[in-house]
Amino acid sequence: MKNDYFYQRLVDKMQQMAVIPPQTVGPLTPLYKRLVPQFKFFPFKILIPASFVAIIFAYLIFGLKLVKLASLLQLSF
Amino acid sequence: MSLIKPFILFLRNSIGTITSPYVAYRQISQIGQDKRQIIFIHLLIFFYFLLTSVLKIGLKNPFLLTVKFNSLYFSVYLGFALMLCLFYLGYRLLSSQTFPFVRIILLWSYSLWPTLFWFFTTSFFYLILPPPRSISYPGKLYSLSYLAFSLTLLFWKSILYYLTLRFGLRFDLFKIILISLIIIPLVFVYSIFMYRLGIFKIPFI
Repeated sequence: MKNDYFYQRLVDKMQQMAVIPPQTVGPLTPLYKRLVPQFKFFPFKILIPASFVAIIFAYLIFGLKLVKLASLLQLSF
Repeated sequence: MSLIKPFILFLRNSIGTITSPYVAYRQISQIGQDKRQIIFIHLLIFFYFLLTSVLKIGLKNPFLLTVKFNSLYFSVYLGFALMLCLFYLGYRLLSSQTFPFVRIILLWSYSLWPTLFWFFTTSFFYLILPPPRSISYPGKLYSLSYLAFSLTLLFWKSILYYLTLRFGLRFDLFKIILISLIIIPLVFVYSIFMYRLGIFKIPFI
């Protein structure tokens, strides 16, 4: 068993996964456990729509000031 | 000294920061990682600032070009060193383990990907569609798309920052929030300082 390549890889993987304890947030832990996997694996599937929704809301609040902000940011490199 | 293995590691980990950042950062934080893999991202940063200095100053005045490149490049690593110092401050305040210097450098180097990508894309669109933006429909559409793109990269950067503290210093969410209350204002002060010096309007952190 000790010389088994796959067994050793499994042990290494389990040790890698156990390097930090699982995160808990008290009574909010079930909600946390539902939300966080969305950001662990290909987070862009949620980041891109969230960004667009946030910008649309910002446009409804700030209006054309966002166009000025975009111009400023474009000069900020 | 073959750089093929570190290059393959760099490619794999870089793709990992996009597809599964949690797993990638957990992998990078393991003991015995090849430190040479971060050479490539720092080389990319070097080439980016070389190109952007030429874009801003042009080739007619080599002295100004050299000054601009050196000020930008030095400021990048000043910012990098500032972040390492802030992480060290976090370690001193909240941790009882030894400071994992190499692990933090590896993780924070990969966290430069969103910053580099934003700067590179902004420079590219500066060439293609130079500002200012108009209030016509295409102008508004472009502005909102650009802001959404910038916000996406900011969120990505936040995720990589969180993972750097999580796997680098082994902090939990509570400690990360606590240390962020110190780090973020100091980064804001640094940004103002860079802006006043005329080096960066948005700091390369």
